[in-house]
Amino acid sequence: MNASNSAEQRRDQAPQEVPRSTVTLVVNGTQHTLTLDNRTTLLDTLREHLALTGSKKGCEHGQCGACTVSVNGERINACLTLAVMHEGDEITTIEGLGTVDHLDPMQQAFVDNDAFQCGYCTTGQICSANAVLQEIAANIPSHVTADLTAPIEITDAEIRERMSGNLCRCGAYANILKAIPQVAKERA
Amino acid sequence: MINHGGTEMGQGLHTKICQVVARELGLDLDSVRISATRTDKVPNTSPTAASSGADLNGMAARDAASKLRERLFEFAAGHFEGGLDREGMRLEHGMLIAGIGESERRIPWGELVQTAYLNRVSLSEKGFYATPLIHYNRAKGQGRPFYYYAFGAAVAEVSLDTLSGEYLVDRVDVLHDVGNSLNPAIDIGQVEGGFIQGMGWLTSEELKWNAKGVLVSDGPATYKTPTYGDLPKVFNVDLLEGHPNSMASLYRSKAVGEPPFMLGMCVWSALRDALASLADYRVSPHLDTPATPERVMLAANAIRNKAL
Repeated sequence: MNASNSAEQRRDQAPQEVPRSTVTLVVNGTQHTLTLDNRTTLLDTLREHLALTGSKKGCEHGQCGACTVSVNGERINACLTLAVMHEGDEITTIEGLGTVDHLDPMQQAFVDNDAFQCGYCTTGQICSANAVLQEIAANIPSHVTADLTAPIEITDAEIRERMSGNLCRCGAYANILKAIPQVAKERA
Repeated sequence: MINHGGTEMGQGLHTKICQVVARELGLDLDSVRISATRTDKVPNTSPTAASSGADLNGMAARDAASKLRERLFEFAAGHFEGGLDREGMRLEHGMLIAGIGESERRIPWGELVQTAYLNRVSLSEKGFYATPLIHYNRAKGQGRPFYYYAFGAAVAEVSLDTLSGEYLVDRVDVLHDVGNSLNPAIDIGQVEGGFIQGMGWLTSEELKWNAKGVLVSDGPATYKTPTYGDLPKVFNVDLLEGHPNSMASLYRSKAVGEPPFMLGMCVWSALRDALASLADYRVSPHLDTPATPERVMLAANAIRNKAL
């Protein structure tokens, strides 16, 4: 039996149709109804189906944080969740945060503090950083929170702990750690 | 508009090249634009590697810009009414300036290049640079492989748990030599990043193969690059000032990409020193790299067992 025959055979044995579902997502304020292979991650949906390539695919297993987006106000690794799990959810990506002409304060702070080099992790860092400030404001404790009864302060240790899921291979951490408190101060 | 053969990968090369052109032509940085590095413009480029991006491309850009400047001077000297004094002619603050005192003449950059264009003067130029003096005879093992050396010093303080092998980098002070810095903000970023990468190389980034030779630490879940918590609690980075490159490099600057990588060694050395303290500094601890907490714990155990 030659190679082409076995390829044909394999094709015949493959399922005729992959299971697909229709899902409606609200991405950066715009509603999108998509029919997707059930296995499509939220990240691939954003990047491949909606052409929102600001969210990056770094490791594809929830370790690097480059794909961080906001879902219903909470940050999430978009590579670790399937789009069909998010019917009706509101998703904010870096594209929904600000534009070149109207930067989000966190984007501006990253520019001001030279808080990136190659920029690959930056969109995830910014989405995470905004969520970190919201989580602290909402008094959600972290591993390093000493007093669970008092309002949580924005300390270097808190920011480091909460940002630890966002890797930066260029090692620009020092300047990112300057950018985040700048935004907190502006808001205070 | 400048195009060069180096790849911008976040190290700030484009910014430095624009600075070179702005400096040579007396323009604001905002007046200089860069176009994408492509081999249809600069073919057969040298790799943007070995920390040579600014050294090579910056010098080539300088070569092109200075040729262009000389051509504009020649043109201006002969063209403008009454003639301009060629000697002492300069480009500053977006102006061509000729003569001094009462005879000084100033011609705005826009007018200068527009007039030159209308008089059929070429306004584009190509530059090239090859690092001088370097040679190496592989057979004899002799020569001069490097034009110059970059230096740096770093001090680290660590605290470690001798039972678990976990450790923290409490403080790091770095003084690094970039000659005359082309851009201190960029250079400090490069030194910080290089240090972090070097520290990761010697502490947490462990390549592990299984018995079949398959790499098993093949992603960030198993191959640990430094993250926020690994950044030294106190991290001071300064550039050595007042020491221009003794060789005639680009404005007497020095390469900055990789040299500070080696400074990460101070963290490994500090860990060994902390381990040595277990035996009153009378042993030289065996500590392989990367000095993962596991290795630090095993080293601590070995010293303790020997001491017993």
